[in-house]
Amino acid sequence: MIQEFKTSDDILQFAIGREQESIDLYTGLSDTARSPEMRKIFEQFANEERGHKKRLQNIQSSGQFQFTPRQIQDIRIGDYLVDMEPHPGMSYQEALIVAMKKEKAAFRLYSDLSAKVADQLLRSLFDSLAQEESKHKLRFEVEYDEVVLRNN
Amino acid sequence: MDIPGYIKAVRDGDLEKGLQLLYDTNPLPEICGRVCTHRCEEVCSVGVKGDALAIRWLKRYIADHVPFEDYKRILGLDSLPESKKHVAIIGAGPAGISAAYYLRTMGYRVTVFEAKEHPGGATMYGIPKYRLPMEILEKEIGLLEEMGVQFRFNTRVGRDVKFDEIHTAYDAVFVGTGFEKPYLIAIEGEVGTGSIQAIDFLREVNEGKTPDIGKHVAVIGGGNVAMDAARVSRRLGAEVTVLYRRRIVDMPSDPEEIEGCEQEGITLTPQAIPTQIIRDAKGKVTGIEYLKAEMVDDPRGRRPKPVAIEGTETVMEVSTVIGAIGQEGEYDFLDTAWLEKLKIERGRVVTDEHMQTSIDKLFAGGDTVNSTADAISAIADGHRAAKGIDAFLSGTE
Repeated sequence: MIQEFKTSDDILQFAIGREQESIDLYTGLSDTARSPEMRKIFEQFANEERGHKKRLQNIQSSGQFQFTPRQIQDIRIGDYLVDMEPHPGMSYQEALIVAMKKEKAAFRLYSDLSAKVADQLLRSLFDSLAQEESKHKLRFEVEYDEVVLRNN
Repeated sequence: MDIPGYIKAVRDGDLEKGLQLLYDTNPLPEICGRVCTHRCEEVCSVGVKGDALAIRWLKRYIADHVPFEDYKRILGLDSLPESKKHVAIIGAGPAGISAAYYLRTMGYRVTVFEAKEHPGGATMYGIPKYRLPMEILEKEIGLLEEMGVQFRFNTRVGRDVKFDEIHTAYDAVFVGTGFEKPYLIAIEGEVGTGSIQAIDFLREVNEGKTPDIGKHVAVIGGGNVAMDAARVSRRLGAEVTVLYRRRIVDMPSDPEEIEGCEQEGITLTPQAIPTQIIRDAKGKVTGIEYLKAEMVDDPRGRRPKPVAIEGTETVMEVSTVIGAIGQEGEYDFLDTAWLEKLKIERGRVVTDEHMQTSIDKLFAGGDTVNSTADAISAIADGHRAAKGIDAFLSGTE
């Protein structure tokens, strides 16, 4: 896989494709969810992913890219939870677990790729993407902490 | 609620006046006199100089010392106005009972649909009998029956009677179905025998059963349900450990329940994050693994978050794990067409200040709506909804 990323454009194209996969996942879940509330929630998730995709497309079209490393808090809630297979009757708890796991996997992917490239610009771009994914994961984990783990 | 008023009534020995003041805003004072979360005492100004006034016990004192046969006379319930309008209540928990009581005092005909065999909701099935004896509940419900409130027990809306039919047949509908679907702990090994949910466990015990929990029980959670499950397990003879992700000071349970646990010899293990339930080759629960947690500040200023510390894995031998991390609502009594119309956010029904939902003539309250998750706020919701329904039906809203 590493040979595919010769330029920053390769990386951005790959990341945009992953965001599109997420949009497709959440849109599909929204279309099939039995509960109207869950349909709305998945649509919100899909819209957030559209925002991420748009941001990447803006970087791609402008060629402008700035990355300031920041320490993103990792409260690691999703790390110890079981995997959930998406299904039409998903509850909010299950949806949050799916989302946390997905963001965690994306963070790991970009972090691993960053560790494998020598080019400083490419590494910086992967680090930026990893940082974004860790922010998304934190957002879902905070929601899980406040809603599901309110009494725990 | 006129708390100074009923404190004065106790001081003056005028318990009939005290009872009237209690029922002005709370038709379940004997229940609240025992199990209320008594948040009023947290803000009692007397508490600045020492202990707060025992407002809850005063409430209990009044309700316990006025003969029940005198309630109707004292509360002016012997002759109620009669309206032709009929209100349906779905769910006989504290919110539904409260709405039913006040609607009936306003003259409305009231029918309560309850899926279970008895009324009371979480107070009946979730609170151990040592905290709330069954006869107390039956007594307060009995008053509503004497007032003419009709109860249809063992009647689950959506299964035994369609919501459509109720919505069509009644002039207004109140929903107070509560939060009964437990959240999963969602860790490895959770599914299977030996791993149970606190509300199921407490219900079984309240029904007179004796679940086989073995000698060592781990309870996961820090709310009142967790404390109840721990104490009931202890009273069944088990060694009990409560695993809680945050600090003791963060526990949402009543402090007296935490103290009760400690006095009964229950071990409270704070800052412990369960990671898996361990089973033997036959699937029997043999232990639970957890990680120790450190508390980290939340940059948004919310409560500190527990974060697992790698390398601190600890395995505790247990025979049963009881999950008590919380519950969510279920709205499967509504078919999709109704659900499309009902505004729900983060699992709770959205209402206006009159407790009216986004569906015409449908009102809601209790855990279904508010996140306080205690009986007194559910009772307040029921009262507010009764006034909202009255305004709606009398055309003044």
